[in-house]
Amino acid sequence: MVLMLNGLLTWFKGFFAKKKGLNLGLYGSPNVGKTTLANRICVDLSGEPMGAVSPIPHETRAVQKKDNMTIKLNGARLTMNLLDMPGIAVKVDYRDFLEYGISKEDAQKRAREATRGVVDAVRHLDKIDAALFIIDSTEDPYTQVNITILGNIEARNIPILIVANKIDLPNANIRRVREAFPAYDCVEVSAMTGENLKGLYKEISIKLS
Amino acid sequence: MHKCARCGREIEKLEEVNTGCPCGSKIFVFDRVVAEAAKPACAVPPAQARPLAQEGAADGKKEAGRAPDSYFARTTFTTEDVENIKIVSEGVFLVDVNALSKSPVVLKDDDGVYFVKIPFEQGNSFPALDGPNGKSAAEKGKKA
Repeated sequence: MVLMLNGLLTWFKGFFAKKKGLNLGLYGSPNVGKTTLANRICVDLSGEPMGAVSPIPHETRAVQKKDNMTIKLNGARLTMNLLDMPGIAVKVDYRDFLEYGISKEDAQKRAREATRGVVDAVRHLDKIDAALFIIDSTEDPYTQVNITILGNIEARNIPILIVANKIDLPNANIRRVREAFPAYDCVEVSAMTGENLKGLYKEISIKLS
Repeated sequence: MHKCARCGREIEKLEEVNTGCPCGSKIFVFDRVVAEAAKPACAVPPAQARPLAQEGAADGKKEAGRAPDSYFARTTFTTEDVENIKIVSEGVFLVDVNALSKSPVVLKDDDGVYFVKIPFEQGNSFPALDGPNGKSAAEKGKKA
């Protein structure tokens, strides 16, 4: 009787685990293209975008989630929940937003919301099962945020795939990104043009299946 | 509040703990209940915070990015506040200890700029997470 109950319980747990899917978090600094990539993935897999993008840093100030996205590749299926995280920064200065024509009051509000977003993103490290770490390949990858967040993800034994984004730009330097973090798998994409998105899906399937 | 263990006299100055009671005893008892009752409700008394905020107002350059005086005069944190450490003025801090146990350190300086200290320790997780799946890594580990 006890064995039967245990079996039933295991079946229920398995059923709900399958239904829930794994949580894939998109992490990175502000303006590296996390939401652009999330939109591209969401449109490809579900036909609907994830959220708004903007040249002003910290446009995404709350964790956005899209459930039950399925990647079908070579007959294999991978169901996941995509979490687009606010950009992580160690300093949020409202004066940086003023140059985009935002009023002081709105800039201060944006800074407060952005900081709350950073805290949420850091706290969500305990809720994700895998991470795409997005790096702007036109920028220097050796930053405090990149190193610290990668270390935090690594410390939690969460699988990481580095995504070198913005490869469509002339000053993109993929080699610099790969050399900065040689211990991690890296895939280069352009979320803006959709270049090598298939390569990304393939890497996600290999990494998470 | 310190009291002499022999005669029960309350000390007037803290130095008396070192020099001893006039009765000759050097043993004192600390009465926490009396001390808590005598202490102000907050770490930064409004009377102190206000003049310091006004001092800053005299500095025209700093004033440009400065939060209103009401922010500095406020000696408690509200649900609107993201920060758990507030620099009221130079050398004067207000700390939300409860929030610090749940979130990374977020400091707001008197220019209204936020600084976040991202934790960097193995197994460092925060106990109270929101949402239906809100379990910390520590809790997950316990159940496993």
